[in-house]
This record gives sequence, C-alpha cells and structure tokens, in this order.
Amino acid sequence: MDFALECKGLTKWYGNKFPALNQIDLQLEKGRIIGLLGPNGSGKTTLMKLCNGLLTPTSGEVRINGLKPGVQTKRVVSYLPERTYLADWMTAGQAIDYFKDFYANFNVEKAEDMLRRLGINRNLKIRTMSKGTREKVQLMLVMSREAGLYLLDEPIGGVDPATRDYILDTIITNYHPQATVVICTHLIHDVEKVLDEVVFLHQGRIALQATVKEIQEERGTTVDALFREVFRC
Amino acid sequence: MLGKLLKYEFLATARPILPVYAGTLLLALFTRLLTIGGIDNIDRLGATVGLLIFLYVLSLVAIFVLTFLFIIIRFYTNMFRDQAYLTHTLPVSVDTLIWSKLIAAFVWSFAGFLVFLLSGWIVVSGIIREYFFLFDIWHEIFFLLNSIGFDLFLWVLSMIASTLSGILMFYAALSIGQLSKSAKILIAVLVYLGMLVAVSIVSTMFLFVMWEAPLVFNLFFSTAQGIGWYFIVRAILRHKVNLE
Repeated sequence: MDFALECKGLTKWYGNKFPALNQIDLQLEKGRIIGLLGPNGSGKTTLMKLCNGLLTPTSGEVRINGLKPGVQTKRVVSYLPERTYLADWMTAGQAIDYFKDFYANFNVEKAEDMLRRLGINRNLKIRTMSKGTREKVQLMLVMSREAGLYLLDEPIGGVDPATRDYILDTIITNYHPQATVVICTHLIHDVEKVLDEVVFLHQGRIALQATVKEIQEERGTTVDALFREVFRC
Repeated sequence: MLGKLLKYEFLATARPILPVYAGTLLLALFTRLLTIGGIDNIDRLGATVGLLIFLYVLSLVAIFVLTFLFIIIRFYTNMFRDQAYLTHTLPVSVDTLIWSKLIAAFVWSFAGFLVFLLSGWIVVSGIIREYFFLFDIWHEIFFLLNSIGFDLFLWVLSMIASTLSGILMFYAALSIGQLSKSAKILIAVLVYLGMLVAVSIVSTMFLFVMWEAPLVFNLFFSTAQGIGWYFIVRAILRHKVNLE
C-alpha cells in the first residue's frame, strides 16, 4: 500500500553546523488528521517544504502516494505555507479565479461560501488586507481544494480564537475519508481535539509518533501535557 | 496550462509596463504637437520643445531599461521569492513555467521595440514633414540596405534569436545566483557580467572566421546560447530549488 506521505532517511542541511532534518523515517497513512508538532526550529516547515518540492533533500527521499514530488503530486497536495504567496495586486476574487484555473479539484462554491462566512470582501486587494485576513484568504483557497493530502503550516497561528474554531471545524468537516491532513503547529491545546495522530519533531529527528488514543488511554495524559514533558527546557 | 500561465503572466507584467509605454507615446505626441509648424517653429518655442525632446529621449531609454528590469523582477519574485511558494506548487512542469515567462518577456520586448518605432515616427514626422515624406525615407533606407546585400528576413530571425537568448541569459544568471547561500542577487549580477564577457570573447573569436556572414553567425550563435541558458535554468529549477 502507498502511504499518503513517506520519508526514508530524509536529511536536509542548510549550513554546516547541524542538519535541519536528520535521517527522518516516517510513514503517514491515508484518511487521518495528523499533528506535526515541535518547538520552533525543530524542522516542521523544512519537512513541509521538502514534501512540496520547494527544497531539495540533501539525502534520502520523500514520497507522496508513492511518488516523488512533481506535477503528479502537486495535483493532489494542497499546501498552506507560512507566508503570503499571492501577488499583492490580486483581489480575493481574482485569487479564487486563479486557483480555479490551475487546480481541477478546486471547489468554487465552497470557496465563495467560506469567503462570505469569514466576512471578507471579494474585491479587497491582498495588499490592503491585514496579516490575519491574508492568512484567512489563503486558508480558504487551500481548504476549498478537494485534495488527497493537505499540508497546513501553522493554519491557526495568526488568527483570533473564534476564527480558529471555525478553521478547525472546516478542517474536520471539509475533508473526505480518504484525505490526509497534516497540521503543523505549536498551538497544541487548540488542535488536540481534531487530531488522530501526532508526530513530535525535536532538533530534526522524530521524537515520538503515536495516535492520540494511545496517548490518552494508555499513557493517561493529553497531547499538550505530553508535549510539555518531552520538550521541557 | 501554458495558456493559463500566460494569462496571469501578462496580467502581472502589464501593470508596471503599460504605463511606461503609454507615457512614452504621450510625450511623443506632445513633442509632435509643439513642433507642428515644422523645424522653423522650434526656435520660437525654444526651451519647452527642448525639455520635451529631452524627456522623450529619456522615456525611450526608460522603455528598454524598464522593460528588462520588469522582466527580471518578475522572474525573480515569481520563481524564487514568496510567490514562488505558489508557482512551484502549481501542477505545471518546469518547462511550461519557463516558456510562459519567456514568451511573455519576448512579447514585451517586441512591444517595446514597436513603441520605440511608433513614437519615433510620431516625433520625426512632425519635425521634418516639409522636407521628406516618411515613407520615402523608409524606401530610401531599404534601397540602400538592399544594395549592400542586406537580408531583412535573416535580420528579423537573428533579432528574435538574440532577444530570446538575451532574456534566457538573465534567467540563467538569476538561477545560478540562487545556488549561493547568501548574497544571491550580488552573485547573480556578477555571474551575468561574467557571462557577458565570455559571450563577447567567444563571439569576437568566431566573427573573425565568419566575418562574411555576420547575420548568419549571430543567428546560430544566439540560438546555441539560448539553448545553453535554457538548460541551465531548467536543471536548476528541477533539481536545485531551495526556497528560503
């Protein structure tokens, strides 16, 4: 069986001091919501970028549905990066048109509906939006794709708690049973209730991979408490 | 997909480029209106015409400098900066990406050349109307060129090849600059200067051998260069992308 995401000996060096990712072996099954958790600089964003072909591995490989990142995987991966990637002259409406043009699995009705619910004017330019609004627009675009794998880098980091709830709600209700969602965040308390599985990253290595059920039932603790324990400074 | 990419490529590049072209044509028109009485009139209007002609010449320079600057900025920001996070996650091959940028850049270069000719025609037709008719000038020029064995078709082909390879050379320098961990733009500029030097040395050497047919030489040399730059850009975008 092909995994939604599989890494074999994945290593990435930026400078010469220490690797951002060090010999990562990871297999994520389809149909789950997975939290990729770790402190700042643990390699979460690096892993996401490698999955999208935005970085070239130093060694090892990453596969999505058994394929290396390329045109085929880009059709099924919906990625939310931690920065604004839309041209600032575009309006929210133009951004929707753009996604509709390039992604066959983009659902326009869903996008328009989310835009309305989030109270964002279609004709507002990206340039004039606040940072939070930009993040909402990008998340709206990414979640409106009926994708096989969602890679969300800090989807709730920059928004208020009410919107946070709406976003998490969208993530749970929006995706179909075969889709996999990877959420990268350090706001563990907020995402804990939606996660099936967690992967802890620590200094470029996997510190733990377990289902939330295992953590709660067998270890008798919460993900949030376990995280604080594992990463105690 | 190429069509869709081109659509957005033109949408994005028209925004800064069109105002420059429109401004140039407008200045040419003003210059033409003020010199409507022919060359004799210039003395009377003096400083105004002088200033307009100065501004007009400046805008001609601006056409070429800004067109290439916008082409470079577009490639850099869309392929290597924040927008690249979207560009490189589109389900599109690297080849299609490069071609979309190249075609749009070529069309703008050509449009810039047309604006240059058109505005020149607007200005000149006003000043020397009493002495020549413009079409007579063209006729004279072609006659002269034909008499020395100038091949217009070959010249057009050769210009197309030089423009394409010129644009690809910018892309190659920018892409090579990205391989460095720091000072990426500085390295790209240095690489570009190095390329210029190398290209002129090689072309001078070959021109000695092929001095009888400079246009044929330029056509082949530009095409070879263009293909070389293309594969450098392609290899880097396929195997060496490392976005910050």
